[in-house]
Amino acid sequence: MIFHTPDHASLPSAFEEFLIADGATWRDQLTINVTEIQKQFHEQRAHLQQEEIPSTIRLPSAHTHITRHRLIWGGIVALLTCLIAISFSTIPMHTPSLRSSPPPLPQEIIENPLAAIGSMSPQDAFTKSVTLLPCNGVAARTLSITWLAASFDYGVAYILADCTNLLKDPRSVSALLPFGKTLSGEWKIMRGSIIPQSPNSRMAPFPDHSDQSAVYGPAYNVTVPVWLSLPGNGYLGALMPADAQQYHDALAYWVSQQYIFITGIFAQAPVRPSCAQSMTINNYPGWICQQNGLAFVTLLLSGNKTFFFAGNAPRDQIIEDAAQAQAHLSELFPH
Amino acid sequence: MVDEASFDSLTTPHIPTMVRIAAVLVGQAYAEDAVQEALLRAWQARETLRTSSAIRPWLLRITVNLCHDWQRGRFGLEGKMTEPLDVATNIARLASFANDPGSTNHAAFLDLRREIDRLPDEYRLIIVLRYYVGLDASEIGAALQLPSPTVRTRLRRGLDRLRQQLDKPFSVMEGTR
Repeated sequence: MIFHTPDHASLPSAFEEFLIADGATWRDQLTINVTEIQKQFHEQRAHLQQEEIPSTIRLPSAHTHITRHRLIWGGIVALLTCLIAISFSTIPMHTPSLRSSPPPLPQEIIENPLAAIGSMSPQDAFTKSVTLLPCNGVAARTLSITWLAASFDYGVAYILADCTNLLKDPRSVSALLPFGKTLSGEWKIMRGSIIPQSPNSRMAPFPDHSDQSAVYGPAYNVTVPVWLSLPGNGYLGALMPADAQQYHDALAYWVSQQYIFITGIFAQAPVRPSCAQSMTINNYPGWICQQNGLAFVTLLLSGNKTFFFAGNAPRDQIIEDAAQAQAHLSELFPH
Repeated sequence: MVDEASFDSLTTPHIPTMVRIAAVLVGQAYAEDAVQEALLRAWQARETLRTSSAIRPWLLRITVNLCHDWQRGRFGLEGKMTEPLDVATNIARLASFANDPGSTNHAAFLDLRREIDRLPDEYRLIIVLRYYVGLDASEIGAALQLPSPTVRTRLRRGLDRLRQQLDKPFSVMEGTR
């Protein structure tokens, strides 16, 4: 197809006029509701004035000397606070059954809940408000996000990032991030865990953002239950126990050199994704999906609860394991 | 210190331009949300605004920066494993507006917008800011933190390239990409 406009090749001014005319048409047809924008802005401003400014918002650096002075003084205050805290702390904070973990680099995950205002699903809100720089603070070469199960307000995202040439070890990073709408209406990562690649890798839970103080959510080491027949051996497992706050969600995973299996439960009904193929397990209705090399089963349990089981094993193996895990739910996620 | 009423009166005249910038950067569906957030950022940073006369370029720069942040979120996180690096992490990518609801029915205009969408980002951004948002070179420079001569140079090169694209048969261009 050849594009024809009158004389645009020979007369630059005519071509420019053509652009100007189309620009004017586009502007005329663009609906702009200044009043509504201001109304929403005023509401958000009032909300902000009652809360702390989100740490992810970076102010423009037009006159950075003001900000710089604040940073210097802030740094001094923070340093003094740390020194005082260290000098007074004599009791280790570890619980024997909990794995202690180094804090993740803060730039690995950037949340901006304001960007997710008005989102109708966790997937949409996550896309709008979360930036992941999983390769030691650098964007991954490729990044896949698989929503293992989700309701309208909550979902569990499995992140797999290819950090080849960006990290020496590991070359890829995976993470499990429960993401949902808080009681105050903000979309946030509830807690989460970087999943180790092998038993020799580190396991570093993401901060628990619920109290704004970067406290880790608990993650217990667990072994593979005897009733769960996973392929191969050498699994490292972790359990994020039930959260009594809002979604009563609990998660567990087992990972080996070759396989990963993830299971969880939360107290909301699931939303059926487009990839779903209906099925019934243990008399519970649900579906199975296959995406990004994972198969994941979702079941609607009584009381509007959702159970899911996912893994990178063949589909039939996932169905079989899902049935076993569902049958042993109380043992898997004791309250 | 700018109070709420003064801030509102200062920013109101520039909101339509901010919306247009957001519309070409993140798409019309997200434009108003983006401007609301840009206004919030501006409010939080109001102490850094030295004089009220500088508010327009300051607001436009905040809007552009915020939209780039949003693009990083939308396009970066929606990138799948199979996408190459330059697609998955391309933060400067613009929202396609060839199929915007506001598009004219005139076939030539549609072709023009499609070809603008196909321009390299460094040219496309400046062309849409100039002809669709309606900014002049100095305003574009302020918004993008580029010298005005650089804006004019890119604008000229972008127009040349756009003319070349429009003069080529579509199938040939598809084959060369």
